[in-house]
Amino acid sequence: MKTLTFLARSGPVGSSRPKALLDMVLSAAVFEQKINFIFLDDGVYQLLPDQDPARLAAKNVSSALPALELYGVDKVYVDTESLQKRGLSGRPLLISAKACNADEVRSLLADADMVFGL
Amino acid sequence: MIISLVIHGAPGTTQGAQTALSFCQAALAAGHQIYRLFFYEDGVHNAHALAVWPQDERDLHADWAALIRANKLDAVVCVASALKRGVLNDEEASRYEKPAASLDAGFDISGLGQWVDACLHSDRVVSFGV
Amino acid sequence: MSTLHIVSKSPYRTDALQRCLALVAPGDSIILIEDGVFGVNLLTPDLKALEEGIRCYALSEDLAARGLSVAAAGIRPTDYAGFVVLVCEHRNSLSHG
Repeated sequence: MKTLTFLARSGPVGSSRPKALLDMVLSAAVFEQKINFIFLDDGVYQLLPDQDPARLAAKNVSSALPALELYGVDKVYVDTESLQKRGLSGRPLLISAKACNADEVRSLLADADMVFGL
Repeated sequence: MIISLVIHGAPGTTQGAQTALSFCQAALAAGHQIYRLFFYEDGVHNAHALAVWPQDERDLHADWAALIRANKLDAVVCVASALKRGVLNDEEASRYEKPAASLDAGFDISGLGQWVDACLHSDRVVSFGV
Repeated sequence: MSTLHIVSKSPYRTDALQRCLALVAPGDSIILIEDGVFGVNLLTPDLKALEEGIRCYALSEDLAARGLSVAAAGIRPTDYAGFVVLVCEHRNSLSHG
């Protein structure tokens, strides 16, 4: 078993990156790898509820995030500094994610066999 | 060491795929084993056999195909990424009733399971063109 | 050594280098490749990150292709063979897009 750490760093809707990363996370979960999933930088925007990409005839990728738990992905983190910088501190989030700081992100990186960020 | 590469970039648009190819050549020259090349998202364009490049521009697809053949490398394009971008093998082309297949014969179409498998069997996995 | 941070975007166009510097830890290394090599004159040895024993490299092929050479004393040029060595020396790598 490998420890795979994923960094969600892009906002929803604007590109295929969030979906590409989520598909990687879910595939790794199916193969029962040890997964850390961190939302940071613009990736924290993926966690906002009330997204309505249907307005753009686009699919809501974030609506799949609650399924992470069913896949056994329970190490989900959100970087507090990224939230702060974007004026999102204290906002309700779509899924429960453990608040973490840059030091904790660094230690999750150090513990990983492989790291993927999109 | 056993190394796999994930290639996200399309040839000619950004430099990522070219960097991946040079990295792959250098890794082979140093005696490392390349377990798998996994072409993801726009990276699947590297496997497009129908692309025609001007003579004075580098045809990266041809260079990948030659490298894969010469070193018997395992090269996989992600099926979900490939279908959306018109990179189809014969089987997919006939399944979806498309007029032509476009995947170079040196590449296989498969799912992200092959990427997970590469993570499991490699010492290092490096991403290019993200 | 833990993470090799791969920076491929110009620091004048995206914040990839900044985001890399925010995550870099002692024992990590940074390699500038592609348009990331435009960051050579930003990575100066007085950066806090570099004081902590973080090694910095720039891919020599990408420098030469752009008519550049290494600007700061703390940055070592390396070729593709050296890039491969760096990947092997570090436990993992993170490509900052």
